[in-house]
Amino acid sequence: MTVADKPITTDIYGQPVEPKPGNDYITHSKGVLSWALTLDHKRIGLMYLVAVLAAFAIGGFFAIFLRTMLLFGSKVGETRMGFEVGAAAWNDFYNQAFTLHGAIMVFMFIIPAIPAVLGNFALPLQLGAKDVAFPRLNLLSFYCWCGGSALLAAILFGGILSAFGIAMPQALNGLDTGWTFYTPYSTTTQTGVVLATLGAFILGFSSILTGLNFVATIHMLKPKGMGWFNMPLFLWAMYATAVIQILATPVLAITLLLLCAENLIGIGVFDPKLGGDPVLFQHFFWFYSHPAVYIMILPGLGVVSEIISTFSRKHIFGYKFIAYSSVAIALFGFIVWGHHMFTSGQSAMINAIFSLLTMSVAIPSAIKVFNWLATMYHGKIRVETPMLYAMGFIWLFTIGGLTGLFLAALSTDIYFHDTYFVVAHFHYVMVGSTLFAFLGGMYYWFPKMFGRMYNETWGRIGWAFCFVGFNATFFIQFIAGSKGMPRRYATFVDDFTWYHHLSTGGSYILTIGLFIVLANWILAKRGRRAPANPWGGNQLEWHTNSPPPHANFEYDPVGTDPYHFHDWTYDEKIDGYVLDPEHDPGNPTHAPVH
Amino acid sequence: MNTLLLNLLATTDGVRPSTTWFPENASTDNNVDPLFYFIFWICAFFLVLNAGLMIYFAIRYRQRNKQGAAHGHTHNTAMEVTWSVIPAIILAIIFIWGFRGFLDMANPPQIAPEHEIAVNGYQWAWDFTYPNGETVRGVGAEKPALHVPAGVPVRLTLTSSDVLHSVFIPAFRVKKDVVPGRVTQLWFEPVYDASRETVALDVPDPADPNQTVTLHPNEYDLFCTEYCGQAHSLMITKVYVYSPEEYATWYASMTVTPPTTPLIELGSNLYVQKCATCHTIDGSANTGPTWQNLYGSTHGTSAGPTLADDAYIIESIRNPGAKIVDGYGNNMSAFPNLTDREIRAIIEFMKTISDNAEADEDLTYGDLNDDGTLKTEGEADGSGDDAGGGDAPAENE
Amino acid sequence: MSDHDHDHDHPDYLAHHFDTPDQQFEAGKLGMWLFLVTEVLMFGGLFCAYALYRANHPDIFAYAHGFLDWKLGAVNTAILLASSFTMALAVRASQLGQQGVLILMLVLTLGGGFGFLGIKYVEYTSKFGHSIWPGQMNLYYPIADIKLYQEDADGNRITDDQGNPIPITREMQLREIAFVEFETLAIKHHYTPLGVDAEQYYLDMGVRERLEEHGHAEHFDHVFHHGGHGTHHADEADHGSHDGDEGHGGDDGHGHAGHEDAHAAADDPAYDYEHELALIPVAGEVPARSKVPAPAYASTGLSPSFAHDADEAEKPGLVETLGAPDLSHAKHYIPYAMQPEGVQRRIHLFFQIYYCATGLHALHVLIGMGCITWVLGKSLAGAFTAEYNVPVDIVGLYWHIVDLIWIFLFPLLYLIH
Repeated sequence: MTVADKPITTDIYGQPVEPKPGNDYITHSKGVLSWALTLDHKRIGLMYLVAVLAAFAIGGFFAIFLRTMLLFGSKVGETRMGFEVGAAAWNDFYNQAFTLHGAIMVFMFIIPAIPAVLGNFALPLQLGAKDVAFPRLNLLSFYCWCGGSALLAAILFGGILSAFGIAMPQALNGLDTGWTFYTPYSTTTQTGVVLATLGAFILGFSSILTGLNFVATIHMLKPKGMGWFNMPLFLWAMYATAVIQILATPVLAITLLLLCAENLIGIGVFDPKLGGDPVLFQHFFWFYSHPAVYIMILPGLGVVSEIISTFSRKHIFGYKFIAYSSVAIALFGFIVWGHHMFTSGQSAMINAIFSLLTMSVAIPSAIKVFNWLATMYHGKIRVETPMLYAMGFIWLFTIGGLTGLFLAALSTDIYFHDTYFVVAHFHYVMVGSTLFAFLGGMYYWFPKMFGRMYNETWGRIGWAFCFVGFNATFFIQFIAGSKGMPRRYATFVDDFTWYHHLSTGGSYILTIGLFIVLANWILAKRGRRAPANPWGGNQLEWHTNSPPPHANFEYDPVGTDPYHFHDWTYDEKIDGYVLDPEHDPGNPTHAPVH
Repeated sequence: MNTLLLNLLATTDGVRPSTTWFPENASTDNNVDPLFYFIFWICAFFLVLNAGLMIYFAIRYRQRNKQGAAHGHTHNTAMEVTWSVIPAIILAIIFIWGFRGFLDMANPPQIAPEHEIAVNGYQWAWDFTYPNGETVRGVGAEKPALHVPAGVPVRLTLTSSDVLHSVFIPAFRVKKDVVPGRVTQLWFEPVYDASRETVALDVPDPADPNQTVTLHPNEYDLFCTEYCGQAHSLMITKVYVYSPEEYATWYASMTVTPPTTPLIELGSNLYVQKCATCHTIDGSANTGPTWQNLYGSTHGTSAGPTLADDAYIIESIRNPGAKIVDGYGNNMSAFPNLTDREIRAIIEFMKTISDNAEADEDLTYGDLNDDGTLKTEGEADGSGDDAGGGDAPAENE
Repeated sequence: MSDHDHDHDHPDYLAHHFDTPDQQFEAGKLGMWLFLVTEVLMFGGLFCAYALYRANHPDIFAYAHGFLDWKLGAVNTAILLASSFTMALAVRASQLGQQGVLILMLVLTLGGGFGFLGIKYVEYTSKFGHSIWPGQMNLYYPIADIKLYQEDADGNRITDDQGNPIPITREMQLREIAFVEFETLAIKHHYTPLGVDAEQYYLDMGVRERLEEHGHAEHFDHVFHHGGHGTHHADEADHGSHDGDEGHGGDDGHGHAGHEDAHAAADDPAYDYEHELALIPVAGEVPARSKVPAPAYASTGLSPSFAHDADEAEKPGLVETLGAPDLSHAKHYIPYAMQPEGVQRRIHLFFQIYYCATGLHALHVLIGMGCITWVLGKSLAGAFTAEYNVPVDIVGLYWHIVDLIWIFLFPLLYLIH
């Protein structure tokens, strides 16, 4: 019987730690209120985790629902799933399903997923800080998320009730505008646009507050020994993300306010009937929403940089290039929004400028991928679950990024705009990549979060299902799009049946994979206790116990090169890495503290 | 899992495609496919490179004993600059190629006025109006289709009556948003290929309205690609490409309605083409009131209780905002292109679904005057030459 | 950070995760600056919308802004600037630990906020009184199905026999607009109505008559006879006024007898209003083919003064169409009902942007006042010392941004020339 089998954990020096209640942040205090009113960034991160997973489940349900509808999309006039295909009820169901799928996934899941869950948990730890700069603001941001989500949920349930024939006021009558709320449809539809935009507005506040908090934290709370250029790359990514959140989200806020006013009293700023311009709405909307795409992907790039380096057991290659490329992506992200309007009739010159700028985003993205590959070169690679997700990420991000070229180039974009090609492209980038980074990051920090190890075998099986399922679902959509299949179609002509069947099949596999992942996490409750540093990373979060104590560290850590792994030695007894106290510059006594 | 496998295998009702990418091209000016394949092979190269290296490294450098950490270069500026510059060069090529193609797509050549087609999108169908002032009528229950001649550049001028739409014709590789409050346009030069699959379309013979001629155009799809509400996915129609000779015949036949067409059938077709998205005939409410038992009944409207008689229905079509039935919004667009005769046909159709009126099932299109009134005995015969009702649509309704 | 054993020197106000008060102060200030950036960007969206529509319709903005009272706006600017100054003094007082001065300055700042909102209230009330509302209630967008009901002198709705309220007719709206417009622009702001038919139009709309009721008919005559612009038709004044008596201004267009030879096209029933609309650039590439009905003016039977240009096919824009280059200086204006409906619809936009921008700003003033009240409460309780005064500083920053935004709004909305 090794130490690892005992109900005991070890600290970073390999010394046993008795898991006493109150020793770690999870058992630090008891009771619902101690969670609901907590100012501890780690607990807020966990609450976010539960919340965004619930949102992901609902958004995912709608995804499966509409993919199942699309099995029968070509059978217009026949009765399937209890509805006449192509009739009003069928179309309404489909339109509401894809709208809620998009709105929930974007505003409630992908945007907060990595920053709010992994960022909240790991960012202060990586900084060696006790908390984020504004803990109360952090909690407020969580409740903003809850408030905004509650509005969207109210619309959702109202929509379901009205689908069952229970009359609903318009404000709660579901939502069928697409997550983009394009005017003038969103000002004429009989569904709950006002509440939905208010919900998104409040969710935007949540996002702004998180970003603001992270920028202030990174600026103000760096530990001794950590400058900008030995911060872990995840922090660079989070910093770039936070800057986008701060600069872009307010524009969404005013856009949504104007849309609300348009719906409520008819101010006409976006309504051609009142002298306004609907394309102005598109510009406003994408001025936020394109940078928002980078809010979704940048944190993922940061997570992957951490995993690749740690699991290759080798210093990250081209640190500065990766760091600067995060900032470059964030900056470029602000000046490319016009590519969403290539077909709207804007002038050729504007199209050319936006096309060129859009192309330029590819360069920092390519730099990152090449640097990751160079990091793996001559590494000592541990191909375990987090690494599998990181490698899956590289595959998905490469495809998603490269297919972006077709959409950045003007003449091909004219053809692919608003077809399934675009759907496939942004699912590869936003869903595939971000989801894989999120799952990989969760597996990576899981031992630190919960102090338990998950089942490695099932982790890999779940990954395989997700990977195969995702590619099966979405790769075929590139081809469907190139054949001319338009997006947001509840029904379609016969030619596309074959593609939709394959895609739906893939989505079922993906669902199975996600359930395996979830089960693996839940069952890890009974997994063996995690050592302080199961992967041998040298980032500061591995310099404390698993799970960390309430104040994160027992002493103030000192920043060193986060990718210098040589001081950690593998200890077979605990299946983890331990540090020689002599090599811990942060240890004030050069001896374990208990 | 069983369902899954069944669905994966059940591809018999779908047409397995012959080519992997793109539908057949049917226009002279193709700025999409060549650039697509150029980018495609670049992508394929980099994907294979990246994935290959990744998998190779993961196998080759896989660590088994978990001990130790790897040494290696932490950076190499020359290498990093190289792999930044090479993509930049490739991107520049792609950009220039794409921009030149776009300019080609955006700037039409000289286009003859007779090949300018006005397209108006509304929820959820398209109106195609030709230089002769005629708007295409759908055949049977089909929505109006776009008919174009091969071998000449054609321009579509796009407007919207309500929300955003977008015209997408995959076979011509063109797409353009239709924005309310703006006029946008797109152009293409179709190619007619008799060796491809053609469809047989029967149209009234311009020389003799009582006869039909059969045309053999190529058939392609036209989609709306900007989400526009409930029936967005049904806002699709066909594009017919004719050889120049056949197009001339079709163009002349536009103004011809066979006098033998039963009024109720014509009205029923018009209902399906123009009205069914908002008005049901089964008693259920939709965007507008149902037509079941509407004719001859009295409803509360914004102008007080109103009897739905001929005059009311004509007014409601010509000026929809005049009397709005209680409980409904002022949502209907006017239909200035419906002729008086056609409105009469719609009224006859409404009578057939109302208990309050008797429809005359024997009436045909030829029994009507241009203004929609019944011909008197003396006029009834021998008016075949005029039967097509070359009546230009009432423009200033 | 080396001082790991810092619990002894941790003051009460210092949060556990900060090491020094300075660090906490800097973090708070950085956070506030970032928040202010988001505020600026949020208003940036409105400024963008403003810039776009003003660039597209400069003449409309010049016309519409005349309804705003720049003097009230200027007073408000002064009040906000003064309150910003007192806020700065409050911050200084808190840093120096001058408790009394701090409280006084905060009270003064708060007073400035109240003064600003008070004047805003006066302004809004006067706009509402002129039927310039936020949203579709706005009389300057007289759409057909607008539901505004007739009221008697006491503000009660007049009902018909069945007890239903009687909607205001289109003509009543136009008469109201004409009166407000003339009163505001011509008399109050000394703008000259432009267009040969302008005087006739106002006579037909009963403007002179209503002024006469208040004993101000001379204002009317002054504008047209001494204003140095426009055509004089004194001999027709009685005629038009007579029309007004009958309550259907310009019925049959016979009020125009004197103009017929000069403007034959004006009375042409086939006059192509749609064509006129097509001359108005909408927002993008090609002018719209609009489905809107004929302009408001047509329904009154009066003829627009610009009609004589209708036969010329290509017109680059509205200003040329109207032959009124002086409009760019806004010394003249085209009466509302004489403008094409496309223009009328866009006039709506100016006021909506005005309400959105000033309304959102007023909301920020309110929030700022709430924050100041909170700081005032804390300083009354003696919470601030020379060492700890972060909240005063941060609220001060917020108040300055509120001021700054107004500094931009004021000239953009009130001082268009």
